[in-house]
Amino acid sequence: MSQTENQYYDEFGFYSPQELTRATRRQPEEGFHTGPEVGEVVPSIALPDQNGHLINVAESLGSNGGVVVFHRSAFW
Amino acid sequence: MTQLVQLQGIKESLEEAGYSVFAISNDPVEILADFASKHDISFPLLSDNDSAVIREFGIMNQLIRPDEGQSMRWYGIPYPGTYYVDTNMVVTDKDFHQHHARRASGSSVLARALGQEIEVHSEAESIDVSGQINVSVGLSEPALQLEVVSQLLIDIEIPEGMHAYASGAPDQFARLSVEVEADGIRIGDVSWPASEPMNTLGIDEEVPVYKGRIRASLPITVTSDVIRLGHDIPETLQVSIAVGFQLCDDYECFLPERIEATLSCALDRLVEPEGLSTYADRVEAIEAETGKQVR
Repeated sequence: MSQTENQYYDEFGFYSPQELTRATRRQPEEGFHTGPEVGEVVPSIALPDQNGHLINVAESLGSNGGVVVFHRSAFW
Repeated sequence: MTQLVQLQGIKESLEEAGYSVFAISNDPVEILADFASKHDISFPLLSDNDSAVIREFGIMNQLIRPDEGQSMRWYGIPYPGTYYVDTNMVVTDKDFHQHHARRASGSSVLARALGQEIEVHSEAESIDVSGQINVSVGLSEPALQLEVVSQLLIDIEIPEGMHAYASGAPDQFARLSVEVEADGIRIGDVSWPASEPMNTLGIDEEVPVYKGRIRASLPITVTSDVIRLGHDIPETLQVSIAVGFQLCDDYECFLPERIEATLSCALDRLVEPEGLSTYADRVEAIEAETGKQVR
């Protein structure tokens, strides 16, 4: 793709109206650290939810477990 | 964000299967409350305001310097990813994408948590084409969403008594292949099921073949090419699919053939972030409204 030469296209062909050098567009190296591996216990998580209630994930799991999603921001 | 809205869509199915769902970011509670009420999110959006949990996991984005994007709280964001944990908080599976903008779709999170195969979504457009083989094509999601990795599912039915050649078969046979093309999409590698070895007439060694009903799946992602400035966002995308194959029975082979189909994929309403420049304004408005210091 010739668009990759454009400063707004990254190597994966993603377009955004921000320069590639902007902090939020920097790419981690392949093989970057992705936290606890399969078979390891995750750190405990006790944080307030959107209603301000403190949620302890370990105590709020379903009968089979849970899905924990880390995301960048709900806003931007 | 699209991902959170998709997670809300699968929340009930996950809970019925015994899994609860949690999302974690470094957004302040007020920002999360705002988002949750706007998009009817009922699962916990957890606020890791000082990124303590994110650091504990070791997944804080190290490419952002503390002095960058302070009003936006860039510093302290995690690398986006998903952990699947059992009731003892042991990781059973996880999914991280190198690119910060790429996400797994709701249905792939569900299938992964439940250890199931991804199914064609009943609300998605699907097509059947028949020739020497029957081909049906469908999507894992009712609609495609920008930078969300969905699955294009291609079911191929090979008539009884016949076989098609799989990858690894000698060059004289046309192997089963799938080509997918459309503007504004990115297609990943085809996943094929395991083939079976077969003794074929005239060849000494066993040849890998497929028989009966098999499914090929391909990751399909709508790229930002569809929403370039100055263009209207299309409501659908036409995706061309071509399946190439050569059928043989125990005695003879047919000529190689191709079956072509066009799938009309709906493009979902994009849940666009409210924008980089307005974040600081929004925080200020929330501070004024609640009288609380958000930053």
